[in-house]
Parts: sequence; structure tokens; C-alpha cells
Amino acid sequence: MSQINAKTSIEELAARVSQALIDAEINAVLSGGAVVSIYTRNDYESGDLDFISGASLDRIATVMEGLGFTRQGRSFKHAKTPLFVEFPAGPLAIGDELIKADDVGEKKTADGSIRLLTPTQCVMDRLSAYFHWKDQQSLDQALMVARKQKIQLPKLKAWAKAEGMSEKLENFLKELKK
Amino acid sequence: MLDSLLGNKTAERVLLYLANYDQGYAQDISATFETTLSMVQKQLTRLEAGGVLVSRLVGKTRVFELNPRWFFYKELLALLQKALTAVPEEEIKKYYRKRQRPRRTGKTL
Repeated sequence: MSQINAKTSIEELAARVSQALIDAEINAVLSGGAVVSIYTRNDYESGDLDFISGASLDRIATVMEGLGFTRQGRSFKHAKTPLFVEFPAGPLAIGDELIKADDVGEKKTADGSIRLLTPTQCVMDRLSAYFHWKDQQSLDQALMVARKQKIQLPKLKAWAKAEGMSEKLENFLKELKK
Repeated sequence: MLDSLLGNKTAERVLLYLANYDQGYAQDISATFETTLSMVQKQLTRLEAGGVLVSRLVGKTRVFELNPRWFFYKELLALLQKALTAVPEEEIKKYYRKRQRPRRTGKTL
């Protein structure tokens, strides 16, 4: 396994961090734009990795420092890569839907396993930003993931209904059919 | 009112302000409550780090709002709205009824 450097991809870095956290028995799930990057094979390029974890930042910092990162609040930077890793406050949820630890996805790579949102959860996460802030970029990202990955439409529709966002979901579904 | 729950009076004021006006920035919040800017900034930063608030830059101003994607958003908003109903009328007029409608550029006050 090579050292973290300027050429380390977001997926490689996600795997290195996620596996190190798994090895330390820390439950952390990759969410946000980095998941979009991974599922779209970098059609969208995220500059940071957001891991949601219930573990203390001190425990997390021990692991991250072992990988060569330095802590700045909830963020971790590495001298050899412009990518940075953040641990936003939890819980892991998309709108009113709490995501349980067993309900997330796992992607095995040569650099380790990545615990991350499933493609459907990733689409929900992006759509949540689109619903609340009319963020077109988030809608585009949701479409990118839905076009490259298999998503569970019934689950998506049920979630949007529970969020009171069925009408806005229609915009997404219309775009998806184009 | 909620300061014992939220830890301090400034946090309560920041949250009530954002629940009432939907959004706000540090300078305006501190001026409204005639409190120090640094105390407001500290609470905004703390609440944002905790996921309670989100912010975006509008020009050179960082504007904050309650995070509608936070897991406890609806419950927090309900709590704050209930708290606002218990704020004395004179405080409501003083702090929570600032003009929000547009004012044409150059119009004499």
C-alpha cells in the first residue's frame, strides 16, 4: 500500500481512513460529496471527505494522526494531499430518517473497506439539500449517482413522502427519465 | 427561559433570533441584543460545528440559519417557536419585530 500523496484519489483516501477506523473499532460512515465522487467515478470531484461517527474526536484523532493527519477542530489535514477529512457532528440521518450502523453500504477496495452511504442513501442525502435550499448542484449530483448506480425508487419515494417533499421529488424523477 | 438548557443566554438569543427571522449574521444579532460581537460569534461557531446551524457567505457576510437537515431540526424549531410565544411583549417588540420588508435604495428613513 503506497503512502498518502498528492496522487491519492478520494476513493483511495476514503479506504485508508475507513479501514483504519474499522481496525480501531470506530464506527464511521462516509457521507456527503465524497460518496458522490466514488459512485460516479469522479464525474463529480469532491475536495473533502465527511465521516459521521459517534466516537469521540479524541479517539478519532489518535487514528488520524497515525495516518499522518493533523487535527484542526473537527477537520484533519495531511501535508501530502489537498484532500481533507472532516467529522461533522452526528447523528447519521437524512432528514427525519435515522441511518442505523447496519444499514449503510460497504465498498471493498485494494486499500481497504469503505463504510459509506448506499447509492439510494446518497441520492437522498443530495436531494435533501436540493429540497431545502433549491441547490441545483445537489440535484445534479443526485442525478449523476442515480444514472450510474442502482437505486431503490420505492424507498426514495417513501422517504420523500415522509419528508413532505413528494412534489419536489417529481422534478428529480422527470430529469432522471430524460 | 431556555438558557439553563442551552448553556447560556447568548445561545438562547441566537437561536430565538434565527427561529424568528429565519436567518441572521453575527453583527446584526449582536446589535439587536446589544451584546458583544465575539460572544455571538462564539455561539454561532459552536452551534454550526454541532450541526445545529448552517451558514453561507453572502458577499463578505456569513449568514446563518437553523440547519433544516439536522436530525432534531423540527423538534428544536417547535421548542424555539414555543419559547417565542412566552417572550414578554415588550421584548418581542424590541428584538423580534425588526422591519423585514424591502426598503428602496436611497429612500429617506
